Amino acid sequence: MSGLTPYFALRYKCLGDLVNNTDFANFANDVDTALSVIRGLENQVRKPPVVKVVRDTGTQVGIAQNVDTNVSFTTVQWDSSAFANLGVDNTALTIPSDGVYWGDGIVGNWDLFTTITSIRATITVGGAVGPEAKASPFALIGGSLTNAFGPFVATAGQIVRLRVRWTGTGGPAAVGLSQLALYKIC
Amino acid sequence: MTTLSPIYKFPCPDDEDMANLGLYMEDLALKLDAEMQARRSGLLEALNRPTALWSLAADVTSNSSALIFSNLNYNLLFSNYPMAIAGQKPLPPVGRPGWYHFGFYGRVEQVATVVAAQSRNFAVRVSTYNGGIAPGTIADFNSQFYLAATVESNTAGATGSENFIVRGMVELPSFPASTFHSGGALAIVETWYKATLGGGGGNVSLKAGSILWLTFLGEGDQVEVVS
Repeated sequence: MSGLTPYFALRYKCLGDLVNNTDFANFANDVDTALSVIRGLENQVRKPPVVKVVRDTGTQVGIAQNVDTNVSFTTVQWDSSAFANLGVDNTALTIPSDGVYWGDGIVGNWDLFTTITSIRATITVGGAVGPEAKASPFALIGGSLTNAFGPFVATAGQIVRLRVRWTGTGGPAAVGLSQLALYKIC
Repeated sequence: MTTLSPIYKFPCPDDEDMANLGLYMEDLALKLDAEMQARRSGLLEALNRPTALWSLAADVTSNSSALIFSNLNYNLLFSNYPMAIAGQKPLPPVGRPGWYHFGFYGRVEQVATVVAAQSRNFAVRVSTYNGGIAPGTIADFNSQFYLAATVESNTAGATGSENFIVRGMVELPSFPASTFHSGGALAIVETWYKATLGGGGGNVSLKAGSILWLTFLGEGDQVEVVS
């Protein structure tokens, strides 16, 4: 008589059975398969989907007043799950799997405007508005940062971008050091 | 004589046990299976820590009086745990005490005339609610910002708008399922917001689509480490 374990279906022999080399090999192979499943889950826990892209060189110019404009990035700082392909689209991150993600977008070093009365940063998910932040006039100084962050629900293949909009005079404006980082919560 | 491995007590048959190797194989298989299942459960739990997101279903106008978030209409955007009460109310998981990351991000608009630099303070309270009796506060959070007179053309109407975010960590007690269903002993995590006016009158409108979230961070107990 032989049996199967309840969770991983390990094949085993029972009392009174002879155990031959085939039985032993089956057992070892079943344990191997089960451990591979566990290792796969462990890798997901230890290396969750995480990405951070930055604009760390030059400025993005031509940001017209009161017009939604996507921030473009120059460097992938890390990317565990092929979110980024800046050579194809330097404004986009592609969600690798369904779930809830945390987004953190920072737009910095605003420049080339005459006066500025508001700046807004929006993380868009599949084109829809996600986490968003707006700086009031009192908060604005030269080189101001705007930080939009929060959780959002996304499905595999959706595009996430960091979008800006400003009001004031002069321009078109420019932005410098900026970043967009995502990680999967669950 | 069969010995056992030091930590997981796996059987280690001796020469005289070879006739009963099947017995030891069964014992080893079942013990291994149970241990590996425990690991798998723990890993799956880590990958799916209880999380829920709700979005405000309709605009809400408020002055300086508090609103109970649980009485507002929500759309449940995501949850990987069952809600103890059917509906769209913001509720924590049943029987899962521990530390949670909690927050709300939203957009507000000035309802009446915009006066530049009017301050607003949004306070969000996490509390238990006992069937209409005064809630017991667990934690308070708030965010202060100023309404701008400047209007972006992508905002609705001739109103100023601002975004705000209130968030923090809370330690929630265990809410057993019976608590949620026992009428007068109903326990809900309540969230309130309060717009404290400053620098001039005028209500504010909290816009539909504002997001409330709750995600489990970990248990408050000391983690047991087995080496």
